[in-house]
Amino acid sequence: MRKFTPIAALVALAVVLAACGGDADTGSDDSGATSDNGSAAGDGDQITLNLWTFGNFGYDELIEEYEADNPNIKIETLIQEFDPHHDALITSIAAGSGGPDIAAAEVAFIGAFTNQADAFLNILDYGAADIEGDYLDWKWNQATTLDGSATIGLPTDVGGLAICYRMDLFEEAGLPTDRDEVSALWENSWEDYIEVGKQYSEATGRAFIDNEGLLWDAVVNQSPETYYDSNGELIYADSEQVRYAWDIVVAALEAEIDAKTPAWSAEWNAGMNNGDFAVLTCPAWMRGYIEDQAPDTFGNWDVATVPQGGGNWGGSHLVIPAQTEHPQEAYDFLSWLLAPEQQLRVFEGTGNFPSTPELYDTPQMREFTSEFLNNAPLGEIYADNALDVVAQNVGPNYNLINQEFGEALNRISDGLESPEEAWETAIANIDRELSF
Amino acid sequence: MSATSKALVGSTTDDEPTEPSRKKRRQAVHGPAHEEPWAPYLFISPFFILFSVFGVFTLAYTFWVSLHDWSLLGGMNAFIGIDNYLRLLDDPRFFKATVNTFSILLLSTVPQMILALMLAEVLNDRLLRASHLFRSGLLVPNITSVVAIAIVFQSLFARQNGLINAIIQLLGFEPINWHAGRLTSHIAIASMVNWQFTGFNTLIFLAALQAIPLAYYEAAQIDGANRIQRFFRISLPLLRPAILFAVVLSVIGQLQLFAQPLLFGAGAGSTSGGNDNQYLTILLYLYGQAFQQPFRFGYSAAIAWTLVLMSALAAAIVFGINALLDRREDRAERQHQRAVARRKEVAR
Repeated sequence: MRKFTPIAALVALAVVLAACGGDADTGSDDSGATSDNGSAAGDGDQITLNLWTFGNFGYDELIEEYEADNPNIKIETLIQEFDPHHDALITSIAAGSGGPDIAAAEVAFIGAFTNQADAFLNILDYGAADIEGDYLDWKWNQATTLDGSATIGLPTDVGGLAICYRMDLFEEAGLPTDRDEVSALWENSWEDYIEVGKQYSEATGRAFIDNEGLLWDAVVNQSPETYYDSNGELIYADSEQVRYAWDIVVAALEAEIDAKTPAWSAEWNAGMNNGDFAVLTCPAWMRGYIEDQAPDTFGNWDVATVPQGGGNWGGSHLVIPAQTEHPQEAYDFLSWLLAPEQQLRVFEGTGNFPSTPELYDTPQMREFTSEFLNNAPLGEIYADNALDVVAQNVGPNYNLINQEFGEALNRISDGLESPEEAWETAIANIDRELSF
Repeated sequence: MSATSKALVGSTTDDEPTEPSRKKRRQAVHGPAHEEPWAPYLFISPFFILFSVFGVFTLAYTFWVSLHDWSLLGGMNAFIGIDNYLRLLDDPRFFKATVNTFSILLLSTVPQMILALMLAEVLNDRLLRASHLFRSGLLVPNITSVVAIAIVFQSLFARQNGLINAIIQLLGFEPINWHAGRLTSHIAIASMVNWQFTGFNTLIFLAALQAIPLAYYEAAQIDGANRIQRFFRISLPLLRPAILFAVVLSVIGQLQLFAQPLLFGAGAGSTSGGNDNQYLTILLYLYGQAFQQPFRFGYSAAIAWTLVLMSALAAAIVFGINALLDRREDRAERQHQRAVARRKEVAR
């Protein structure tokens, strides 16, 4: 549920065309519904809700069921790639029209959207407070304004955090391969994780981690406060966790255990196949990506817990832009679609990890394993991890700040700047960008 | 009304016609004068209507946006006059993007023109077999999607498993991290542009070459000029209008360079143009400012207008250089004629 490479932009186009084609087909089958494309013909009984998502949210079956139960509602879906989806959503909000009734917003954007809560429906006005308890606190808070007066969307999936590792490569390096033993190697600290990396690289002469960016994301997101504190004040320059994450990544760079393959690049995908690196930061949705990109590594991967526990990467909300003409209907559908029962079905279909903790004890989730990942008990690993995550104020410019730090680490990796220079440039760049 | 007829008659009115002859001409072109004088306007109106909606209006609206503190998500905040433009002067990233854009422009336009001239000269050879095959082959990169080209080049220039680095290593040198260096990344991006547009420019030059009368070449050949002399003394001067056209097109196109640096960048949709903005172009910066955090719509509009002015200025410079060359040529021509006249007089 996060970024895919621009390579996939071509695929995206195909998906979009396919989606449009599909819509046209259902429209003509259902002769009664064909007249209402665009605006839903006044007070007429037939209402069309437009739902925009990116990637695979796994809602097709659920939508059919909802339409069958509510004959006056028709759901039109538009699925795009990550960037085109968010671009289109933001542009439609800026234009004040042409937007969807319901749209997905990834965690990288939810902070900026929550900061502009006026542009979205406040679902608290529609009774969402009653179902707040169904969802993970920290996830709920991401879409809620700091003063708690408005919540702009309901949580879909969460990313969670774990470490996927290559058993065959670990064995070659003389490291343990059993997932509990591997977890124990580094469960206490990221420093231990880097130590294991050094051992691995010494034994094999190959890199341990894929790139410094994903390591950064993992470490920095384990903290209750990263770039903003809980009052919304900017603390990126003085935050202990940010500095800790920085030092860990710099240590990894200095140990020369990274393969320098940028995430989502063709090189990275190739590296997954070739064994250029032995571990991957692994949110729940990463399994699908590995299966797609490196099908030949079937059975070579297993999943260990993440050092120090907790942390989340990715996951989304569904929001309702304020310009919708059918707020009540949109909310009704939204609250049904993301209720725990429906999230369980999505999980069974796609593996997208639910944001509703009451499911974490169900046998369906406890017993969920993946053959691709050596039958690792994914349900258990991610459920325990999700419960450890602490609420975090994402903040309106999270993405901008995170990107500046990521680029600074890249500059160290490319030998353009020393770690101290890179830190100072990053802080200066962020200061300037935010000084408007 | 007279403006219409003038426009319609166009180039034939150059010689300042007297009143009766103009009238006569008008009648000759479209019958008696009294019929539907508005008709020509109607016929050309679709272009002007579309242009005012999608050209003039958007330009004017963008300018209006650029005078405001305007967030894409939060909407318009306040009128701030030219503050966005002043800020632009003080923005190290914009400065960097401008330098990068012009650097890539030079690295792509100059080799491209030289290569295209050489290819056109070769393809113009009457003895070349299967010339149609080569000519159509030249256009293939041009009709290929820029996304496809960028993806192929991105993997050619990849640091770890790239073909170019593999060759460099085979020759015994250290692999180059193409993305990291400023110049290396510019070379990589310029090579994408060159790959795509050299063929297009070759065809422009080829068409112009074919319009040059053969007699010039034959006369030069009889006088003993070799092939290289014929190229520099005949082809090149007579190709100047075509070169001017190609250079202006290329400059305006390259100032708007966007897809190549975006897709060359590692990771998805990164608009930073490299970890040190080493290949950030103006348009990439514009897009990133408006459509990514912090969603500065007004600021990005100011960048857009600055880019418009830069394009106009760059085109003016190219035309200026051409005018200078023209004047120099005229002077040389006049001198030559005077010398010939003097010689004739002396002979007499």
